[in-house]
Amino acid sequence: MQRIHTNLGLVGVCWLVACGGGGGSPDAGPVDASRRDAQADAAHDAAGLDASVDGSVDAGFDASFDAGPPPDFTEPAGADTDPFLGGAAASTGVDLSDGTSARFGGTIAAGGGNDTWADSDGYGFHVASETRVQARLSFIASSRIYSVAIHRADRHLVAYWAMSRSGQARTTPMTLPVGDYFVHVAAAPPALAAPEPYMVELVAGSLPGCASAASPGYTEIETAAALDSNDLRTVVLDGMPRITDSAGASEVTGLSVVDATPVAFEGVSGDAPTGADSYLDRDSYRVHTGADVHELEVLLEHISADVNMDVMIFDAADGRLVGTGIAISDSPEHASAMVEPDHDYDVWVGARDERRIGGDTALPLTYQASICGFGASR
Amino acid sequence: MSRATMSRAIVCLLGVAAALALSVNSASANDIYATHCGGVLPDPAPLVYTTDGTVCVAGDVDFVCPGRLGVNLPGADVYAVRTGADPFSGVPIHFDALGGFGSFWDQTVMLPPLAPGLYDLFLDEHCDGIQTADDVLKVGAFLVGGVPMCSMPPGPPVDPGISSGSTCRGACGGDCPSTCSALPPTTACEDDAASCQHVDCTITGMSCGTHEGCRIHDDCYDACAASGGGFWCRRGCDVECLDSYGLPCTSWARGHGPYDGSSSFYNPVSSSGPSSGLCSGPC
Repeated sequence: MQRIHTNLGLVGVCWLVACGGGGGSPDAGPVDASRRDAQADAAHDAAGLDASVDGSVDAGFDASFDAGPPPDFTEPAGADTDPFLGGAAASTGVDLSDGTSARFGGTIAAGGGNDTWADSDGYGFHVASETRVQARLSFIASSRIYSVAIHRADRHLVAYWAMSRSGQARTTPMTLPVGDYFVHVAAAPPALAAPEPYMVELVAGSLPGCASAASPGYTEIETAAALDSNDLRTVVLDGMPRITDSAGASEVTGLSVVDATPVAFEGVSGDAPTGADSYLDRDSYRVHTGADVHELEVLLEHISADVNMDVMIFDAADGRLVGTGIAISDSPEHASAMVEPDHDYDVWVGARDERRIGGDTALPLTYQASICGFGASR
Repeated sequence: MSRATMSRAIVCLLGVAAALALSVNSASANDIYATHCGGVLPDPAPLVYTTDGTVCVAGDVDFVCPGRLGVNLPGADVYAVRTGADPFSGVPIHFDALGGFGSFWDQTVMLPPLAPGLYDLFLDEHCDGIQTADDVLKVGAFLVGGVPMCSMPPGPPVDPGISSGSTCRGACGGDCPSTCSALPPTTACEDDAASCQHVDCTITGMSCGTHEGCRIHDDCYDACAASGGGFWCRRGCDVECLDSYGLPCTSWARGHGPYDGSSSFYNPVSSSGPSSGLCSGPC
């Protein structure tokens, strides 16, 4: 993957602005931030969750990202653009239709945030005619997870959070009817010591999707007798996911994703928890990307009435999270991720533990994950 | 002194002794007192009962009630009524005063549960339902103070007793999540002046982070429980949260922030006592 490493300072000269009040002001309240942090840390520690995975891969990244051309809209200085906690998405004046795109430049502010994010920014846009839209976020790769999602103006989620630590995150293309929307960018807590710039691009057009494979090319070998044999990671959904190593290793599928033609694996999600996280069974599968593949899309399908399955994609080399499909929904689940060609990735599938509200009665459950590859521009 | 004379003298002395003993351990003539049914005379102050107590009376009658058991025996009807009420508005309790000199002891007149309040005792000497100069009315003869109760906690309960069994409603997180912190126990003395008693009330509970989104979500779950809604109802609540507040919902689900405040939830107040006297000392 060709990456243009833009000096952070240069980015600042071009379009870096102060972030909106979403960085700090929404948190004002009777519970002070230090206590919240202490509580959160204590809870995480109690659960045996630390940042071992996230922390172990920090050294490999530099503080730069592919900023690309100047943005069409820059986050206004001093405005609270947090659309959820006290502010409002910035009005960009952007109209999207087939074949158009728009770029928004913003900054994750320093010194603010809450238990969910270090900062949160929204950018409003209008869809003038029904079209498929993908949000593409570029940011500084680090141990910090960034997320991007698309909501209707009334906050209804239309493209669930794409989360990544790799410096790029992409939502799965979704068809958006005419209407008002906003794209939402957030970075995981804790508060930043220094602001971090990002660029989010909305691309509209006939973006291809990933079709369901006719049949799986690999079938899971894990059995109910050893449900943790391919866990690989435990994931606590606590705002941004908190990820740590766990027992088990990815099953090597031998599947190679070379283009948009789907390849697939099939597995069974068990009905017993094997880790103290947000999931019951977890299954991981190693796949390889072809020489021209820069983006993966995973289409996870199953037949169930009450099972909420999620997908995460990890770089097999360093364990970093590169993509997520964490919609609260029945089948199917979509996940997209920017990837490097000729590289190994672990596709992680988990059934969210929703027994407390009466879910998961359909487990154990057979699922199929179809995986497609795309070039840099889909 | 002959043996017979000596025997009569002894009997006479014993009779006098018995009479003296009775005069010490019983009420004076033509009188009535409340007792604790334990054979002990009451303090001069009005006797105090708790609502689970039994009211007895002791005293002395000077007249007979005609026609009872076919013979006229010393006895009376006793009425226990709220102070100020017509003595005959109560239910008469009749007893025969077969003790020496018309004395009676520990005659039960009221069984638990007792209604709190100040009571009069009325001794209807002739059992005729007519108040005469021969009768005895003791105004404020005893008090039912009830069991002094602690005040309600100063906030919502930890367990509101809803059908789902859910607790800490409105707190972010399921039930009372681990992110809640225990409130320092506080103990306060509370008076019940009517019964001249006090209780020590200890309040415990926990403080939890809350947010409008959490409160709405809990209300939604509770409505599901109340309506018999199952998984899909609750799933709808989850989706509604995500569609209103976005990513923080997943943080709230684990009890974390962001919060817009804190809520305190309280356990049932525990009390020690009741103890005699007020918090400040004897009445």
